[in-house]
Amino acid sequence: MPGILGFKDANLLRKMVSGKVRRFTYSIPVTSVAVSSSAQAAVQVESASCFFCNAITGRVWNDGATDTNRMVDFAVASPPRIEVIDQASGASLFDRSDVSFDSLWGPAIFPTRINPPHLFEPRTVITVVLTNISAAVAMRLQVSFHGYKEYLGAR
Amino acid sequence: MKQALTDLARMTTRQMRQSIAGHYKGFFYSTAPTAVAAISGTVLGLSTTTINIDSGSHFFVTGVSGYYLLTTGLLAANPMLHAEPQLQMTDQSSGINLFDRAVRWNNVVGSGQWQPFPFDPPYLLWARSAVLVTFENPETVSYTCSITLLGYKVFLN
Repeated sequence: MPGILGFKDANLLRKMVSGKVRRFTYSIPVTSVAVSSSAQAAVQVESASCFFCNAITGRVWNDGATDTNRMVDFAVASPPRIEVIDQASGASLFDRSDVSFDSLWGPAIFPTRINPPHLFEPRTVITVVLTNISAAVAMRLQVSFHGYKEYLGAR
Repeated sequence: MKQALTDLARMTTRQMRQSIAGHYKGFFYSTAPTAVAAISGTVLGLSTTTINIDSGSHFFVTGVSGYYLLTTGLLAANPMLHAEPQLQMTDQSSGINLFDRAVRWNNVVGSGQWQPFPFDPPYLLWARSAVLVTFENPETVSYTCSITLLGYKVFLN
């Protein structure tokens, strides 16, 4: 179905103007991961709506004393490894738990598209497992899941 | 005005196209360049600004771009040298945040030079509504921040 007013699907436009669908972004908190260690961060989908995730972005910053919050240079420090788990089903979004950050996540300019969108059920928890394989650079990460909420009873 | 737009929900796709034909145009809404203080200890510098939507048209946001400048007026273009700010947007017609928490700049703000961050699906801002934009600065120098909302004005009455 051809697009209309920036919507790829006229049904989405219908749902948007009738208040059944709302564009939204869920993000994990900015999470520190020490050198050669792992950390988990989670975000819960609200209970009144399911969430269709159609894009993901992520950022990695230094967590050092002098350059905190500045972006990590992956030519100097190894990119971290990441796994995303949908707790509603317990399933990982990837087949492996050691996928490199750089393979999956883009910035806002080039977000990683998920097509078709991944459905997160209401009240599910999206858990992100972060593994810093660098022995020298502590890191901070934030991953954002972009898409739209569809309110229960609206489908 | 609101009723006219919600009428689209009951139309076929062909009727929708006929209804909006000649009643929309591409448009950009931007915040004023906003000074954001540097981080103080662990407290992020914080500033807010507002974008007001025209009373005569609704606005579908299809993308976001923006910039943050150093006090010298130069673009803080390299996030390896200058920490990126974070932001939150609040639709004041409903009080709803567009993000569940403040999000770092390069997760949600693109660039006109490369590509604006795509809002897919677009976000609907009703006529006469306003968007409160909150900038937070985690860097040790102050910034001047601005974002631009790209999209379509829709004139229906």
